[in-house]
Amino acid sequence: MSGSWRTATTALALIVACAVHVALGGSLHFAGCRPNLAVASLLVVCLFAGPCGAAGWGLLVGTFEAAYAADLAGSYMVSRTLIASVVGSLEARVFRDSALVAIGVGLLGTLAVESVFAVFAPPSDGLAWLRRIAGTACANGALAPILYYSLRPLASRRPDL
Amino acid sequence: MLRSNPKPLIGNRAALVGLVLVGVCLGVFHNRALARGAPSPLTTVVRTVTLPLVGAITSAGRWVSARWAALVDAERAVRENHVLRDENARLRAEVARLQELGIQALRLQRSLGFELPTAHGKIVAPVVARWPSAGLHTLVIGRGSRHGVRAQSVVVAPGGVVGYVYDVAPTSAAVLALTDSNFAIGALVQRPESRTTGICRGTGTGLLRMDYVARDADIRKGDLLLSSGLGGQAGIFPKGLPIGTVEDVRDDVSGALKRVVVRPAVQLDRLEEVTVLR
Repeated sequence: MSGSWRTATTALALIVACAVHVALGGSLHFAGCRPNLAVASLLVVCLFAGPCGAAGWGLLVGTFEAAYAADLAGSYMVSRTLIASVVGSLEARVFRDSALVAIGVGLLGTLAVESVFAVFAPPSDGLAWLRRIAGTACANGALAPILYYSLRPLASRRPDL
Repeated sequence: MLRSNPKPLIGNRAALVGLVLVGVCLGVFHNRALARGAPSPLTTVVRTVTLPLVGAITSAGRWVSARWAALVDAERAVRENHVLRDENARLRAEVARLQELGIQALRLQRSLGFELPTAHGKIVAPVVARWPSAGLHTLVIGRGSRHGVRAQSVVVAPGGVVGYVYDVAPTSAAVLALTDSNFAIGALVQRPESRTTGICRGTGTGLLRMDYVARDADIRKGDLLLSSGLGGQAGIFPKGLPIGTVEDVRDDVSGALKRVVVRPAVQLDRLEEVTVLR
């Protein structure tokens, strides 16, 4: 698959993931934990992108989320771009093409994204926020291997590895 | 574990810094624009372009959910149908009685020279998306400035208050729901012998909290709260809209106030259509 074709299909996949999250995210939950499909997909895609590509995907997802969130929407752009670029920056140092790494990135990346968001928009009830974020991180971690195997053929430079 | 292919897909360090800076600046600019009450052109365009896709997925989700519910819940639906028929008959009788009282009140208002409340223009709008984020509760509706929706328009459903319009695009609008942690509305206990007032705030958890209720106030579990037309978000809500039901009343730790937990009258996660009051 050529680079531009891979970029286009990955962008489309991320847009669909964001749209599904916006449209159905309110009714999706596993054992009371609400996943954030947009962030989980972003983190998995970042495993296959370099730092610049990941920052670009972060900006795309952040802008999409900002368009549908009424309040403090700009903080979505900032938190997604920053964390995606950090995940992307690991590319040169850590081998990441593994479902286990995807689970870890889904879990810890979600915590990082929501923590950065909370810096810009401090929650009124810290304990309730912590509980929700932990639930979302667990759900995203559980979703990560499914997303990894779904998105890898589109996003990876070496899908046959 | 070292990576086997260290060469990045695109770009260099300068491009990375540039992209991150663009993201941060866009985010800060967007928040500042929203704080000034100005819609952000970027998110307006993104929402306008992606709304058909989101709308299609929402419709597909509802279709699947309805078919699934029809399969799974058929027996329960029949039982509920009987209960609802009885309730419908009772409510019809209640509506007839209230209509009669309304006519009587109108007649008395006219005879006493009271000013009648202004009738609101109404726009029925489909709920296209719900934004499920920690503490932030937002709905996106499929009607915008082109249909007459304006910022700070009040949004209601048959059960009561839903929220108010926060951001308007030509074909869509973002609604800040009453359960959002930044939402506040002046509230009043409906019970005639109480009429206690306070401010209801969203908690970001699906429940509301009523503040400024004195310890000796007459408020109890099951009381219906209506909008008081005072306080809250710049007093944009007219008086008399149902907000929710008191679920729990306890003394505050300070001892001077009561801690009142309120369940919203409207189930936000099941809304399919809302009415925007102009």
